[in-house]
Amino acid sequence: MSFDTDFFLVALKQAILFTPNTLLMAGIPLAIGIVAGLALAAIRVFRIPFLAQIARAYVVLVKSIPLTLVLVIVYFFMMRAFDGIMQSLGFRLHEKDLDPIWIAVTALSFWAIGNISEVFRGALTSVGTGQYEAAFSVGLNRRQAFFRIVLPQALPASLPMLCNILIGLIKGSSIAFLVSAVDLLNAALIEATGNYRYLEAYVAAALVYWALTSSVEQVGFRLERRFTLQTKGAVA
Amino acid sequence: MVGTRRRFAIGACAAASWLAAGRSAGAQAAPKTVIIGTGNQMKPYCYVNDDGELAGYEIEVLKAINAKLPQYRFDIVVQEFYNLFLGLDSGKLDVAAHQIEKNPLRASKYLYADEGYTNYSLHLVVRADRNDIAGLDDLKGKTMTTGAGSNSAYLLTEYNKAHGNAIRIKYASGIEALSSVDDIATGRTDAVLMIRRNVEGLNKTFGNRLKIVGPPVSTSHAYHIFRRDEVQLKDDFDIALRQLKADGTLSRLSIDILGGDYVEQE
Amino acid sequence: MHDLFDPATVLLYLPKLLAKLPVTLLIVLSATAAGILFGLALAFVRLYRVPVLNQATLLYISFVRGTPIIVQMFLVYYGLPMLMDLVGIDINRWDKLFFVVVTYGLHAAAYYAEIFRGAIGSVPAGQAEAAYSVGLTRFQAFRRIVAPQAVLTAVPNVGTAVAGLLQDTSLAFTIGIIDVMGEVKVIGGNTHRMLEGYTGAALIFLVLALMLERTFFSLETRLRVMRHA
Repeated sequence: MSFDTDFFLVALKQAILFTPNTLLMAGIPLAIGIVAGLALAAIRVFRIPFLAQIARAYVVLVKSIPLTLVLVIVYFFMMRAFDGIMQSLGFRLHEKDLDPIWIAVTALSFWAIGNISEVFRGALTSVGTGQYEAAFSVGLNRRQAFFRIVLPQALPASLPMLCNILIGLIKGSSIAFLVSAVDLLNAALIEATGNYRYLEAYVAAALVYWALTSSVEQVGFRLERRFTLQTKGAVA
Repeated sequence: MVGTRRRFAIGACAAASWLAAGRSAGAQAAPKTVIIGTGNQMKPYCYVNDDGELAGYEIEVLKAINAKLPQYRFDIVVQEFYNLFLGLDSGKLDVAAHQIEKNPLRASKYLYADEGYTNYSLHLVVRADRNDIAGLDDLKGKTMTTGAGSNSAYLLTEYNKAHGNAIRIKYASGIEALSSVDDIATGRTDAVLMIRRNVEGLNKTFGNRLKIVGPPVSTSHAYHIFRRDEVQLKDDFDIALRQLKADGTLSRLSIDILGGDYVEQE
Repeated sequence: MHDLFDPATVLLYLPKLLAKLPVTLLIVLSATAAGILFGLALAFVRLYRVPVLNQATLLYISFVRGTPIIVQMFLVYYGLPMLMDLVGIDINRWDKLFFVVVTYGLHAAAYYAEIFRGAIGSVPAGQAEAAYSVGLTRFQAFRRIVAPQAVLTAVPNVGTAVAGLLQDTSLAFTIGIIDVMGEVKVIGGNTHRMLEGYTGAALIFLVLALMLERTFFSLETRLRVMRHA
């Protein structure tokens, strides 16, 4: 078995061409995860009765079940129930028009929400109670204290971990092949369908993934340095 | 120590003669292991039965061939379909058996047996109530589903190359591979390429939802394929297959397992 | 025909799935063991900044943590034999399981390298110095003073890593391993029912993950008690 460099370049080109799909599959879940994850984290930190239990159960489920299975189950239910839901909502979308990429986005969002809520939960609890007390002592109510004092401290501290989650999403999007959504890996593999040169395709995809995740990692390092210094300064 | 040296010498002679004897007898003694790759997702050709054993037409044919070729010991392993070809490339497999059709690209890379053991003509299959499709040309702008590494994929890709990417090809994988009827029924896909036997089988199970249109898109047999350097093995397979066809074993297996005699060209 | 989902079938498939659980566990345990050993070695390379090896390790860790595991599995399954070919060893006929364990082991090692580096690095230098000052050799100082403290820091992260590996094994079926996930596909190939199988697998993973969490939690607690005793 030899390494076909020409085909490798062909596969590489395809992979790069479809990288926006991968970024879509990583970016949208990240955004959804941040909003919903923050809400879940707040619910748990403030121990809102009943909702906190549900939130906890959700997080446990998402963290224990492999992403592959989440995707599969989302796929089957979306395939079956989509038309029904769309009709009841009054949209004229049909399941057959549904690009499988959105199934992957949905599954990845579920995963992101669970994991990001854990990040926020850790960050929120790490902000000392003294902050709340100080806020109350100058007359802020709970809501104001949360949004004006605590959150601005917790968010920056979470950024490095969020970078890790983004890396996880970029890698996780590779399971798109299970539902035949075309991301960068699948694009490279489809190129290889005729000549069976899958090794070259995988190497090409690996390099693109590596480039993507390394860039995010670098951003994460810079953020970590910036924000860790800030908190240290504040405490002193 | 004279005693030790003599004992050593005797031992060495014994070992040498044992080895020499072994080498000459070895040719007739131990059967040569042949690793054959097949799948487990294509009932009734290759699947895992309720007892957890690999079963199906492929397996039975291979067993029949092995019975005719006692100088080999067949070791059947399971792989994803496209991994079968890679297995041959990399030397992990000696033979691949998965209803593999012949096309020029594959023929240039792998050694095909001369004897096919099932007919494998691909037809264009659409939903039973559609009248707008009579051939591949009617599928301009429409969707077709196919499997990664399959001959259908190759045929459709070649068609697209000659017709300016007219057909939108969707590659079914993993989870969706078994939902062709669903796909066609709901309109998610407009057509697939399938063999007549599968169409009849699906229609029997799911009600007559599929129909074949137009002449066969490709006529081929299914063959065993080998690495290019395995000429002896291929020749032996051919001899065995010819015998099995002559004495009716293949036809019998086909009727038993596939529900009809699909051995020769339809 | 279009029955959405039959819960009873899930129970029917569970025994078949559980029968393949040992394969999943074998992969997790062997890969973790290999990963810890190799990861420890890598951690030392990083801690002592061994020239050349340090850079290579950095690249290795970055690659392993930055590419999807499917890709790594494929690269090992087809690439490793090619590399071995160069040295003249033919490993093509080796069991698939070997390649899978190697893949997950290499993958885990990258994470363990960082975990151990962090844990060992977090033990104050003063501890080691104090140990030397009372006459302990480097090895003894490490074994008796630094390591126990590092272990406590590392344990929660090791727990996370093992849980992550367990989840990652859900992709081994793509190269044909018949573990729990592989069995789901096999059942699907036989009965055309896939959702029930996947649900069953999800339940098994859920239970395993919970058991794992419980185990590491009690391990952590015990270690902490031991330290303060």
